[in-house]
Amino acid sequence: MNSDGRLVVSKLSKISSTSRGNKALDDVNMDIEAKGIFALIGRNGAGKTTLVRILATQLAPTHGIAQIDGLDVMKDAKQLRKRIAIIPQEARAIAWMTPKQTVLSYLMWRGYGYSEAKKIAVEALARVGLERYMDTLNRNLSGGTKRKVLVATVLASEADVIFLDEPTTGLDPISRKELWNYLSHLGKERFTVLTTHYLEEAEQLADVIGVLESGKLVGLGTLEQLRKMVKYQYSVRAQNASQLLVGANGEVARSRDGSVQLLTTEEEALRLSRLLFESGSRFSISPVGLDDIFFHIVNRNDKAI
Amino acid sequence: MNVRSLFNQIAAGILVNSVYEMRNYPIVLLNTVLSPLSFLILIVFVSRGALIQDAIVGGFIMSMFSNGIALQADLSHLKNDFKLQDMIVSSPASAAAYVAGMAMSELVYSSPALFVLGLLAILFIKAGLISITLVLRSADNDVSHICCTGLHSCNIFKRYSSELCFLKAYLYYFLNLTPCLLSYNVDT
Repeated sequence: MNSDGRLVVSKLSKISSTSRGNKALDDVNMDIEAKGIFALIGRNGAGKTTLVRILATQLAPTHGIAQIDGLDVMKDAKQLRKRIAIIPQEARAIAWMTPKQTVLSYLMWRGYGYSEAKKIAVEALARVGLERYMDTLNRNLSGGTKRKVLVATVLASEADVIFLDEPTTGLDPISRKELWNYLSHLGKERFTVLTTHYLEEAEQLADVIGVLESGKLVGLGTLEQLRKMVKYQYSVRAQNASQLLVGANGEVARSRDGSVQLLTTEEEALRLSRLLFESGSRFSISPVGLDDIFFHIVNRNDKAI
Repeated sequence: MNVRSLFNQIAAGILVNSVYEMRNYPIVLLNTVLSPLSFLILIVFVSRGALIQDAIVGGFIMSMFSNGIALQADLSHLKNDFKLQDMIVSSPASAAAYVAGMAMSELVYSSPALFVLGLLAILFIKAGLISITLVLRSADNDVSHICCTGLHSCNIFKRYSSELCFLKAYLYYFLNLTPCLLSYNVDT
């Protein structure tokens, strides 16, 4: 075993046992540095959770290998489990316990003694701003606060690889942004693998982004690297100016109810902005974002299928 | 894995599944006592006190049987509704430590009932029979559930539950051959 500080996945496939042999993961390959935040994005059923569960030693792959820092998820599962922690999709803080009891008991499951676990639990809850709610029953907490309790459990642990499966799903925008702050800090201290279908979340938090579509990894890299997968670097959105944009140099990404989005070059974006300004249309110009890249990659993949 | 860590992991299961619930909702203490006592009172009432010894032993059996059923339900609840088992699988805790903690927690949860029934047993019947009944019933319900839930997944448990019931039938058959003193442990 070599401690190489990398997340390596090679020819990884998983045939679903519940959906007539469909491939939940299909020949996934990646080799990235196990550092910072790695976000997996994709539609529902794209294979994000399956990949995370394999990496977190919960599922056995049908084919291929996966290694984290030189430890194989199958052969070295016992050693790896000492270094990982996960908040599964739809995990909830246990209703009849308080946040302090939740974090404390999780630490005891990781082998900590009661007194030590209690001390660390209080510190971890304070770090996510839950001092006031430490002894309040989880059932009486808001959805966002309950999520913070779960984040505190993994934060309190000694694990240096953290898996968060859709940690902000169902939260209001303010709670989500609050949680992003904690996740951002978490990513600076430990390697964090995050799945989400909020593209803005991946754009804000991730150092490296993987795009999964129908079990295949169709994009991998930093936001800048993914931007290069799209031919055009600027996005022009305009209302009631479809003729102007459709006839321009570029690629129409989306068109609905008189609103058109065109991906185009910097020069063409500049030219269009003048024309749109003179015609009095409402418009916006921005560099291509992750949502544009995602739609571009997924649409391309759909056409290929 | 040292013994201390193992002890902490088992203690975590006991805390989560019984101690914290009893501490945060003291009403459950009353609940756990009432359930086996209801059986006892019914038998005593119907037999006009003649079957009090049988009623106490029946209360013990009911309490232990409830343990086994509750363990299965609690493991499923914690796995499916709170995803706790997924968190534990991806941690240093072994499946055996997790399930042993949960099984112990059921005994702790029913300890108020066992305490009251124990007092009644000391007053009304010979303790030897009670202790044997307790040990065998605990072994049957809890250990068999430890074995089956040790398979990690409730789905797997469901898949193999018929085989486990088949094995249990043999266990009962074996117990049937034991002396009459222990015949309370045999399903008829």
